[in-house]
Amino acid sequence: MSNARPPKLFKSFFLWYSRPELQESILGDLDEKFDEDVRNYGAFKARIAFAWTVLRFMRVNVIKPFTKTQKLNNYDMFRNYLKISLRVFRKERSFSLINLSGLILGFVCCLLIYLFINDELSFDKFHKEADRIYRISAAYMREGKWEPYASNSWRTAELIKTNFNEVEELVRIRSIEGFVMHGEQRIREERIAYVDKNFFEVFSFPLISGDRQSVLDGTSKTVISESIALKYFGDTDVVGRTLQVSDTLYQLQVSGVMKDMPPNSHFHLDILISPQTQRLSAPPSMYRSVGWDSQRVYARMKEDANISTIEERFPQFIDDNLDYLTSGNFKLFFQPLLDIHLKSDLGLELEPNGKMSNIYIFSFVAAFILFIACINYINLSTARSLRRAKEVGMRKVLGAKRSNLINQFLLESFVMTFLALLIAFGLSLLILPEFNEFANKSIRWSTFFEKELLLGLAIAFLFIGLIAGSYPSFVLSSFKAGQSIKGWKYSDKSSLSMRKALVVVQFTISIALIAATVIVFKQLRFLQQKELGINEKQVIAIPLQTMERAQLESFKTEASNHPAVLGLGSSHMRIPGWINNSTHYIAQDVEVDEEARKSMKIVRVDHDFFDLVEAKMLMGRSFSREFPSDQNASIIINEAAAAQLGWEEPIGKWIGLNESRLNTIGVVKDFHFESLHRKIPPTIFVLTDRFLFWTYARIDGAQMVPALEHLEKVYGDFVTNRDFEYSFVTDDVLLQYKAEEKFTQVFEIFTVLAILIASLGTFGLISFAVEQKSKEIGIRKVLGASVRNLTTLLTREFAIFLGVASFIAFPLTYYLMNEWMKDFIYRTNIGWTPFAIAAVSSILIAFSTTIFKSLRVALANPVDALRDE
Amino acid sequence: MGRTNFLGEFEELILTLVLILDEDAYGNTILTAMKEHRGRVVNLSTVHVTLYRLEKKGYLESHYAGATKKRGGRRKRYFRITNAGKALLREMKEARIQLWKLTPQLSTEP
Repeated sequence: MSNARPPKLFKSFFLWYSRPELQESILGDLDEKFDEDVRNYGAFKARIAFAWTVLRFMRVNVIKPFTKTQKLNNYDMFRNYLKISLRVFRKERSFSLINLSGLILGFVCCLLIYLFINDELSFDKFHKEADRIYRISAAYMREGKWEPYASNSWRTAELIKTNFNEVEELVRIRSIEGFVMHGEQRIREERIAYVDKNFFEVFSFPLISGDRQSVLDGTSKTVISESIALKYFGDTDVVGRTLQVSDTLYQLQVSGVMKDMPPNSHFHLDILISPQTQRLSAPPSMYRSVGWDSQRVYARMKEDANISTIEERFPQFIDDNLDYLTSGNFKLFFQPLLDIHLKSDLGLELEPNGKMSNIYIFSFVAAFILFIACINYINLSTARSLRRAKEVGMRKVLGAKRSNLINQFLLESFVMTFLALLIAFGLSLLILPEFNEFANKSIRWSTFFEKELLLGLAIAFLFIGLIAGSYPSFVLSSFKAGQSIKGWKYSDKSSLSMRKALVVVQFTISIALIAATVIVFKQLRFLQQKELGINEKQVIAIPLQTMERAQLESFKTEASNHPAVLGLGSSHMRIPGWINNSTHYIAQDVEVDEEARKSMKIVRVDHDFFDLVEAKMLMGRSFSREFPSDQNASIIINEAAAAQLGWEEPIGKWIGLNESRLNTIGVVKDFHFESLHRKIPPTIFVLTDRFLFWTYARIDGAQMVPALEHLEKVYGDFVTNRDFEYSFVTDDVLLQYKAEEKFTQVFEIFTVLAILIASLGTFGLISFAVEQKSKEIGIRKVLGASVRNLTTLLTREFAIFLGVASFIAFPLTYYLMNEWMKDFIYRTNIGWTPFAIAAVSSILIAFSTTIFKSLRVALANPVDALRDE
Repeated sequence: MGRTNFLGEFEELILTLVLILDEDAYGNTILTAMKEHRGRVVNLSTVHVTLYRLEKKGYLESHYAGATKKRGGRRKRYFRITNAGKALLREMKEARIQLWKLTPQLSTEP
């Protein structure tokens, strides 16, 4: 019976829960009692008694206060870890700083990109019931394709309001530009609009003074923004004061002041004018014509409105109500307000919008940069581990388990991550003003302290700390105690190849980014420098404004009466501009094809226009004063038009427009009137002497100032109530690609940062390699190797990395950038140059980061390397 | 006089048993003695916890000694009554006698 044993399970259970200092005496008593019980009552009962007693021992004074003691223990250990990591940081300052700055750069990038994206996504969300507000946009069938516009006509909006009772509120906005006149001041403002009186019912822009419902109800009433009030009156309490907008010819009375529209609104207006005032100044035809797309139309729909069924009813509505527009050539559709900023890129938007694809691209770039920074950390910490092998060995000898070591190195990585995050946070705050200016944003400081951002940072901290720390801690903790103390050199093949793979990934991303940047840049250059088909150099555009059109010819004569003014020509269109005037037609020898519903654009010009822009006539002649009949019987078409008509011999053939037949007298070579975002449309040029809005003057580049002075003087003789304005056509052309330019700049900056981080990593690695091989190099040197041999030895590996990385990066970049380029109608071919540039610059970068270290070790006295044993 | 000067009935019993067992007082012997002298069966844990409490109050002191094979080589924790413990027991005894003296004497003694 003496072989009966107390139940093991309960014994260890007791050991687990009880205070260590009580265990000896209690267990002793238990065992003794068990032995006795076995003798008295038998093994079974004794065991039950044992178990029962163990359970009964679970008392407050016996159970160990598990939380307290354990924490105390770990706390001390953690303090030790912290102390050691700070010491290591100080001891290997350059390594640590490289490591840290890589992480900081990565975090700063990500933080700023996050802020940017967050801001982009916040557009228009401040409106109450924004999810029920839609813009009603229109599309026209052009050349067999729907061409969508953000605009609509006043009349169409009115008919929608009366025909669809799902519409709760409908508001029209007609934006204009003009001079604001107040006292002596006469300043051009671009953010003026006529709006419906329920503007503030639909949009939640806050009013400082004035009643939301009635503030825009009445003749001559206007609501101005705070900044306009300050600009003209020096005060915001200005209700009742008056000012004049050039378009109205009436005094406007301020009936309310609103806060400036927030930056994350997809449109910004400073001066809102009541609908009754518009009645007085706008031509009556604007209200009658369904084709005069003067308005942006926004509607708040009733809660139960089903948008898709309404859209299904639109074609019927169009056929029934909209005069000559039919469901075949005209389409109406809803755009949710919240989607407009990122997803809408229609013609005639109120302001250029953001792009969803940019959001995706920047998110990717942010992720990549963070990834590179993490790789850096992993690489550098693992590489540095050699120096800490002895520490690891010592800790193991002193009883550290693997989990302790993993904890230690994880903690170290968390400390570094935290430090990096903290510095990155401060740094981002510091450069926020510059960033705002650059990204054209107005992100406030307070955004940094919003819940979501701080939460995101906390998550990033844990996540990145874990990612960056897990691999080094795994490798470091795996060292064998004995070997590492003996000075065993770190040569774990698997972790080395892991690090090599990581470097290749880094190089791949960097090379891909360089190549992508070059491609983006190339496309931008292409857009900016593509030959437009005309000579736009030294041509200035002058709006005719209120000039009496009958006097235009004499203005041109007088203006060109100066040696520096080489010529003038006029058009109803601005170059570059958006030809929104299009027409249906019938034409000689062309079957009327109702299905295709083809149309052409119309541009009105004067006699001298083609000469002035130096457009090339391919066939026939230009408009000429020698043929008076040109005035209303002749047209010139462009190549695209001739191609659409299928005319081989266009000269002399007729085109029917509005019941009258016009003779084709010439074919002009295709040239870009519009931006390169749009294809050159088939265009008919018509001669006119009345419907002209812009005149263009070619001036002598060497005598710019006198030419402009002369033009201003002459202009002043013909236009007395407006100021002389002009712009260079070349500047206007560049202005069209502002968005692309910005995109390119942003891309460049991030690429530079990515490269910087990657080269920090490369530098760290070469330093490590040099240290690893210092003895080898010493011996080689002693045996007669030259400096060049040694440098090659050290840098060769990186050349291989670069090769592999390029091999992966090039096809990937080619594919992705090809997709990106598909958004452009006119695009450059990618070619091989971007890849050559990427390859050369990455070689240069890798070489310049490695050469210094390798040279230094190659030049060193071999004795230094060999003597240390 | 505060909480430390107060002993519960069970505490008093244990304290007395430790006094009785003199040099041989530890968990198991106390348990056996209780069963023997008072016919009272309690759990070992109750005894232990009470011992600790009394030690904390200063009426007992303990030391480790006497490992046996039966105990798996573990030492016993012997308890010994302190002077304070003895004084308290005496005091309690006298207090009880004092009280008994105040009870009405039974009229007829056999």
